[in-house]
Amino acid sequence: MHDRRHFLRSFGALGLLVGLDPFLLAGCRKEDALLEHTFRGRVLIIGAGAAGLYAAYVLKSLGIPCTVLEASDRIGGRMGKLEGFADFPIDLGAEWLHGRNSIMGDLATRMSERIFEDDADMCFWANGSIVDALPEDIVAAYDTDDLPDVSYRSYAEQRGWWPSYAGLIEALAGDQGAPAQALSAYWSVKEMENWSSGSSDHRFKRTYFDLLHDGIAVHVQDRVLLNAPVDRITWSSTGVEVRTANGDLHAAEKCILTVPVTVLREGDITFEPALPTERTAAFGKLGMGPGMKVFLKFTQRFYRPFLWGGTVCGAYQDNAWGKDGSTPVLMAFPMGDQAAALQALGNDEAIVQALLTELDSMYGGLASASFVEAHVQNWTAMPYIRGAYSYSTVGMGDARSVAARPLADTLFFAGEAMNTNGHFQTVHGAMETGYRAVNELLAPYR
Amino acid sequence: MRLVASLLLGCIAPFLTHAQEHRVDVGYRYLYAPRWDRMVQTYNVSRPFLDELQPLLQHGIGMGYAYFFPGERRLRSGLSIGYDRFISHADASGLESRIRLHQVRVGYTARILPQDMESPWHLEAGASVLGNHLSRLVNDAPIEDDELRPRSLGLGAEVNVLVGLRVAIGEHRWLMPYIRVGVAPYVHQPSAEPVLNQTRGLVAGDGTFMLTVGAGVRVILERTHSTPPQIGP
Repeated sequence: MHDRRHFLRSFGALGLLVGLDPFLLAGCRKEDALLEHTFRGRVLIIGAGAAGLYAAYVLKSLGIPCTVLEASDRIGGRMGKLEGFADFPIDLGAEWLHGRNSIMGDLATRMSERIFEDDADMCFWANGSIVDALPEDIVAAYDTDDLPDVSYRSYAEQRGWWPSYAGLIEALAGDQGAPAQALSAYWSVKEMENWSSGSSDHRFKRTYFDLLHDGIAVHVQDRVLLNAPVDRITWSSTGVEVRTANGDLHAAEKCILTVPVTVLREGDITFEPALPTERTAAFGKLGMGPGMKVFLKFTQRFYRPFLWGGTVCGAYQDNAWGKDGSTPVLMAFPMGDQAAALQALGNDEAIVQALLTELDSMYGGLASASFVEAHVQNWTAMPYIRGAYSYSTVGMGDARSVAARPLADTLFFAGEAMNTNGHFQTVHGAMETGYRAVNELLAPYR
Repeated sequence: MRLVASLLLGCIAPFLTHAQEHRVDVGYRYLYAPRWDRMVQTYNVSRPFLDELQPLLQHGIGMGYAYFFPGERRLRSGLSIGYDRFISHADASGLESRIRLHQVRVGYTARILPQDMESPWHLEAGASVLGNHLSRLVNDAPIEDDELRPRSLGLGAEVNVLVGLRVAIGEHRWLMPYIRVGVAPYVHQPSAEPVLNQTRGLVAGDGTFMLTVGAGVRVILERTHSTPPQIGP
């Protein structure tokens, strides 16, 4: 009898332990822990690009009032959409979803957005002819992790690829928004070593801008003030007062700056007190060069789907490839020094003519013969952007991390240039900085 | 394949036949990995477009096997191997997300029976090496089908304690409900954040503390040449 009682008591004690332990522990853990906060202030967001819109979206979901001040008359920043030019919509800005393991990949899946992998065959313009492969694998050579901290151009000169493959080297650098003479061979690889969103590039049956608009902007457009360029930010540890060019004042406890790095480093906004020297020096080390997209419509598709290496324009891509449309539209994607040279021609007609001349040399005069019309999207000429996207400069070190640090728990920095986890230059990278800024802002209130 | 199987069997068979005890268990597993919690919480706060939160990675099932060397009946030691599987599943509109953790433990275990051999209590302590594989499926498919597919391998060391109650179910056979607690002070898992949060650097560190609580039932088979403790009524 004693044994039976003893056994049952022991068994009951073990049962209690077994049953209660996980639930006691589980009570301390919640998946929504970061959704709770005690912040009762207001947030100002400067810039209605991907980072600013997403920061506003996250703040709204957390019940935090915010206002987005956008300098131009439209949302989206460098993203945009062109309709009516062809029988498919065209992305004027960001066009590729770089890997699907990202917040934009999730959003595209959630929205049932139709995307397709961009695996168009690549060919090269080298030494006056179109070839399917290069004698040396120059593209792969720039993707190794033992490169010196010299410019793409200097490295090409060391390897004997310059000037024979100058167009290709400019195209490779231009893919990162940079002139070959300024992009660091070392830091461009080093800064991307934490890249985690996947290696495949996808395009959209509609446009990338549609996803940004329908998935995010529609939720926060009532909080966006357009035509409100900021010219002064007075800040302290207790809050900010922001003045727009028309003299309006906006006050808030916190401020998230998502403007392009060109705007930060070229003094469009006066900070009172001035930003620390270390900070402005870091902005100066982040590159952002010229860039544009020129859409050329033709009567026939005489061109290869994806050609790299032009000396006027480093990359030409069939913009209809994979789209639900057939209008022959070739996108020229000059960046860096090539974009600067085209911009120096002075007007869109001259830019288009220069591109047609190069295409004629590649395709035996077919470009001019079948040309219909063009649309030039020149990011450099957009007054509140003035460039393509940020790139890694020679000797930059940890400038990006320094540039992105919050100041006095009041000023928070976001935007693709402030992405420190390898996803700079991308839309999803910009959005990551948007919610990173919100997390930084709320950290003391959780 | 047949050759490999024969070799494996040839290696294992002598151990199996010379074992003093074999133990097989199955049960529920509870996981606490605070840094991973933070990553999932960050994911949830940053995805307002999802109408269901991603649960923390905490509930799972597991199984184990232990082999005890011949020795004195009160204090025996042996080798153990275990496999645990944890799943966090969120079925948001248009995006079903499933995070999976496969965990394998290989270790050394010592078992102590109370001095009062009639007591049903049973205590074990051990140390194991942990191997983790963390991955994520979206709508039942890997997010990326390339070399950068988000998945993460991890390695750590764990100390563990197990308390059980033996119930005789036959001669030299016992059924034992148990509770097991394992603590791994640091599991190195550098790519967990790309799996749990689809990025890097928002949650600092490449590893996590890990606590595992297991509860289940174990079957114990003892070889006949030793006298088992007489337990129960």
